[in-house]
Amino acid sequence: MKKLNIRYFTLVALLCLVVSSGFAQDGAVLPGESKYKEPTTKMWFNTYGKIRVSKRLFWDAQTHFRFEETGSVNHIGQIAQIYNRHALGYIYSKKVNFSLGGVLRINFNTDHESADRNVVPEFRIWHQYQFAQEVYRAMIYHRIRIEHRWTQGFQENSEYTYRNRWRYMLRAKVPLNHHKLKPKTLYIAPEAELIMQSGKTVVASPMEDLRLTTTLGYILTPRLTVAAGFMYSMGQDLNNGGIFKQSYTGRVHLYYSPDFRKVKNKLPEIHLND
Amino acid sequence: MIPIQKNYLLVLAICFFCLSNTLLAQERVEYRGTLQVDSFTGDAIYEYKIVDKDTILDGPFQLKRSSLEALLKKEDISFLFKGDFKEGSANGPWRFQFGEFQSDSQSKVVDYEYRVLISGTQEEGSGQIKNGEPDGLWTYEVSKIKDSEKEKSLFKSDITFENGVPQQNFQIENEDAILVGRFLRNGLAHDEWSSYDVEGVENAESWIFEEGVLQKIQLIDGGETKEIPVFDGQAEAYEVVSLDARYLKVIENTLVGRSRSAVLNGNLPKLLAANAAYYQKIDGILSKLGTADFTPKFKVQLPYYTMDSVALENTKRIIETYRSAEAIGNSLLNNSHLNILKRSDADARYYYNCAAKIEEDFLSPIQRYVELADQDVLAFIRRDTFIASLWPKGKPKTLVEVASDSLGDKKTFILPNADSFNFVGDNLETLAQLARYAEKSLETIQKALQARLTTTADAATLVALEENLIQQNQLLVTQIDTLTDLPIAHTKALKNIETLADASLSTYASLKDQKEKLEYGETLKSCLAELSALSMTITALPTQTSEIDSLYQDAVWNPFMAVVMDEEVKKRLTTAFNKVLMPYFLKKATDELNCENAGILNEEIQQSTQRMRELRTEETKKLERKLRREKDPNIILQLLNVQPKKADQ
Repeated sequence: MKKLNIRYFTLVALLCLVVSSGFAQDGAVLPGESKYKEPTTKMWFNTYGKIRVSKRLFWDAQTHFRFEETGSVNHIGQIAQIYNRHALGYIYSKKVNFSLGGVLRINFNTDHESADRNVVPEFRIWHQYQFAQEVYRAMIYHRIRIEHRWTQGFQENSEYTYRNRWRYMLRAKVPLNHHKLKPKTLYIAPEAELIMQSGKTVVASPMEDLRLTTTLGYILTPRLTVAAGFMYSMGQDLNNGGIFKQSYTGRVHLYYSPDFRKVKNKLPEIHLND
Repeated sequence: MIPIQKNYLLVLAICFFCLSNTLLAQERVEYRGTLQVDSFTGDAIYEYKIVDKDTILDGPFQLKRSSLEALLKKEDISFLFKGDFKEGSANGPWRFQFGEFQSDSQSKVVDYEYRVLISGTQEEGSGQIKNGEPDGLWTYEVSKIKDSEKEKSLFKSDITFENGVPQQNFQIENEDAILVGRFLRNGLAHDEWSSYDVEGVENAESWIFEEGVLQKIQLIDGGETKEIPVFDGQAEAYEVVSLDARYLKVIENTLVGRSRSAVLNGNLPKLLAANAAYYQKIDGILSKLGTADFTPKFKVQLPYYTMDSVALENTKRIIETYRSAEAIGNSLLNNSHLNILKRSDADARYYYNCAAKIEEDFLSPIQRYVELADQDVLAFIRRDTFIASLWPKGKPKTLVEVASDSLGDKKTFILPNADSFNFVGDNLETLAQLARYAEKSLETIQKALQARLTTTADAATLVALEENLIQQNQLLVTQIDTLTDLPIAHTKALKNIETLADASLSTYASLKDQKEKLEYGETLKSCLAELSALSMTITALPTQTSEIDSLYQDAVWNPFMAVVMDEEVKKRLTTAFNKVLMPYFLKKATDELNCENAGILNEEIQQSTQRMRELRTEETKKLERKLRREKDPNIILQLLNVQPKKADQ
């Protein structure tokens, strides 16, 4: 009986392997070896706001404008998405904070030959857990971001599909002209982010994106920082896990963190745990 | 049976009575009360006995003082001396504590006790004493105390003694350096004594002894080693002496040139001197209480050069002549009227410069010989090499050349009988001749100036005034000349203050009419006081501005970096202060300063720095709006509400 069970199990496992390596989504055939698409070029202009609203809470407000190439123009040929990401953040300590909020993303149809809709919305709920560490003169950051997203295609009456995204980012910020991160400091920020996804439509393409970025930033004031960098990313095509998309993206960032609280409320600014 | 027992008891009782009577004469008595030892007065508990009508301390001893009232009021100076005496000599374990404490007057109750936190310094010396001398390990530590806890150690020495003689290895350290070394069993310094910078071993200093004779000194400065030979061991005779200030004086005068200052500024002599001073403190106390010898007795050997009767006679002559010449020189150089006169009278200036030159070229070097004689260490110095080292650039000539004016024109001075002096050779006779020439020259100069100094300075008030002016000017010059590390603009302003003071004194000197002189002198007096105050204010400015800059910083948590950063606040205020007022003040002090506006400027600076401190916490929105793009310093001063009193107010 036991022998039979093992045989049965081996058979099922083998079958699964053959099926999953042969087919991806809805009968998409996985190639014999992985294929890499030609990289596309993109350009992102991102603003990041963290607006202090109370001793422990801040309003996370991000607006991103993402462009991509057209046939003739690299990087900024056409608008691809506009992001509106908002959340309420909780400062647990100087080094640890959490956020919970929503995203409204406007997706533009970048396929010129398509006769479908030009613009469709996408909705997300996201929560994030960020931990910072001091390492010598640099800071390193671990960011775990979980997103629940509802997307739809550009076709008329396209159904919303639900997916989860699991993101982990490791980033360092190394001051270049001072011994620590302070105003008037130029810093370099290498980062790596792995984005996995899950959901009914995700069959053999769990790795959505691997982003490798290096940014050069400048802290103008404690409340204003600018940065620019370059990113290489690659990830599995949702419809066929054997095919990898690639892209080169230029990124320009503006970080601002105003504090509109009254002076007397600002006083215990740094003494969060006292 | 019973009667026998009774008799036996009776005999025993009689014996006991007799014995106790003889013992009673030597019985120890306890004293409790106030006692003063050296400069320490406190509450004492001790035991003593009377032997031949003398009070001999015998038994436990304690003297202490501390005052809570003094502590809460301002500061308390406390001490505790605790140990044992045996037959008048300190014996057994001893502890000496000296404390200087302040408190913030805050108290709290803990377990039915009131507690007050104290800050200050605590000194503690402890170890065994045998017959009044240290025996075994002695530790002396000075600690900085903050809020009743030891914050850091300022000084520590560990020395092992045997019957008062230091033994084996010892260690002395302060905040900056550590000294380690060792002794032979007879207390002679031996082998390498090394001191290291606490910060790192790149800077070290080693004294290498051979049975007490200092062979060489090794200096390691920033990784580079330099060896300075000291005594080569070739001297005919050696004498054992204590390693104390006198010994260091001999070393100082045995070394020549740059190595001399390098060694003397080193850590080793400083650490030894500090340790000796702490031991001296304990010795002072113990020797007042009974027989004691608590000096550390570090022994070394020095070469000994016998002084014969001729040498002694010559030395006596040199000292006498030097003292007489020095007195004349000082009376001339410190004469306030001559100091004023030399600004306007070319002859007076010439004679003054001659006296200064003779003082510098002849008397200062001879002074070193006289100092050695005063310290009674001449016998340890090799005289010929020492005398040769007094004038490294060659001995002065009988013809003294000085600048007669500020343009550098030279004028000379020579005694008519200069030929009868002979400065050849490096012996005591030469030294005596040099001293004599200096004395005679200064006498001649004094005579030449006599008439000038007595005829023009007959008004006593004028003399007093001049003394005051010279003193003030001297103070100002010293104040300014000793400054280093100031920004160029500040230094320029200070130099201008010095120039203004000097020019005003010259104007005063050129006045002929006494009444006019007196009037101008009085104004000049207050001017110099104001200039001195202004120079102090300008000197303090860099520190004050950086204090103000840090006052106008807020700690801000940057959520993107997760770090706390300093943010400049009320920027318009700091910009107006740093970019407009500061340059304005310094420019005024450099280009437009005179006796009338010096006081006003000083007040403007002081008031504006004070206002900046106050404005940090005040509501300044309106003021900041008004300061926007304001470049006129006078308007900014008005806006800051700076109102110096006018000179006539």
